[in-house]
Amino acid sequence: MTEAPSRWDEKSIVVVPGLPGNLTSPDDDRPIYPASTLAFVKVLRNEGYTVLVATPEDVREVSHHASDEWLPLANFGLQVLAGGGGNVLAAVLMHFFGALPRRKIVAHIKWNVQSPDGSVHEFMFDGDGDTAIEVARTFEHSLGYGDDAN
Amino acid sequence: MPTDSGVSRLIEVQRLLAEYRADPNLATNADLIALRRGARAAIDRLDDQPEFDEAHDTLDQVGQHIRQARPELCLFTEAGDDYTQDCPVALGHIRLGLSVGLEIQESHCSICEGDVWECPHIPGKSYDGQSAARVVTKAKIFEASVVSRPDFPDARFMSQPVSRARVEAALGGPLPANTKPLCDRCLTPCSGISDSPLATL
Repeated sequence: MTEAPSRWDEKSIVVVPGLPGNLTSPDDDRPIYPASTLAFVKVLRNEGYTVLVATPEDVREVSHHASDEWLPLANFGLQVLAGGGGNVLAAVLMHFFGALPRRKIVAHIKWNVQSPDGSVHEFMFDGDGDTAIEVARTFEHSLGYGDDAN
Repeated sequence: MPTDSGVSRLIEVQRLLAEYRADPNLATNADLIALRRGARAAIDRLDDQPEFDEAHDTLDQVGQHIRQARPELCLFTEAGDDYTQDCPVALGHIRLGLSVGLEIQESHCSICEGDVWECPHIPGKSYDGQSAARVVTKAKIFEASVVSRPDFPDARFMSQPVSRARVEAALGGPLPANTKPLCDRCLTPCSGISDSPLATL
């Protein structure tokens, strides 16, 4: 796996340890990732995104085997979104959901997203996958992406 | 995957049910027990899908046919002084299942058997007709939960308790000696699906 330089990289999507929502986890302090992390990283790299994992030598994944999809926590750097027309987050979700076998997806998402001015904003969503895509697009536009200047 | 196999199972159950209805002597008890299991397997794969209502209706029709054609297949099972309900038709109306939380400790790619992080195969994607998957060979379970949509569609309740008192209350008096209670659930209109185990009898 590619070494992650830090938890923030303006040119990358950095997957960080943790689980979205109130999921149970093993009773210790080691970092954990949802089991969707592998597919998330490989699908997005295959689509040309630079995706790093914060602790590449210790990717401890937990699965909950319900039909919901708990996406990995991730930090989206400014340059990942710049020039994307305000549709990068939505495209990431479409690529990831498109790799799943289910027709209907309940998604749990918690991402940090850097806006054009460098500030960090949290995108959280729990619910239907199609709605997640629309909400992600709206969120990204609300940060200023998709304007002519970006 | 779950959705497609649910539809194909539903079609097969409907085909067999039509045959057995046309000629009730065609099916053995084992055939009818398999039909009942098949109807449940179908609905258990069709949660939230357009075919769910059809699968529910088929499950009810299977239950009604078996109750009318072979009532001996609808007896409660004795469990000490009480009983259990093991019927896939009744249990199929409980839209709950089990989910385990586990830590993946060892796994490999189903295509190349290599390191899933290093190999080029993406889980869920097809390669020469073969779907790539992560094969988990070692895991540690840290919890189990009751959920409405289990990832494994067959991870469901296989039995539920029925108290003797409840049976006798339904009968309006004590059960005669050496008799076993017969479930009449499928002789009455379906009261709908439930997310509570106790609401289905």
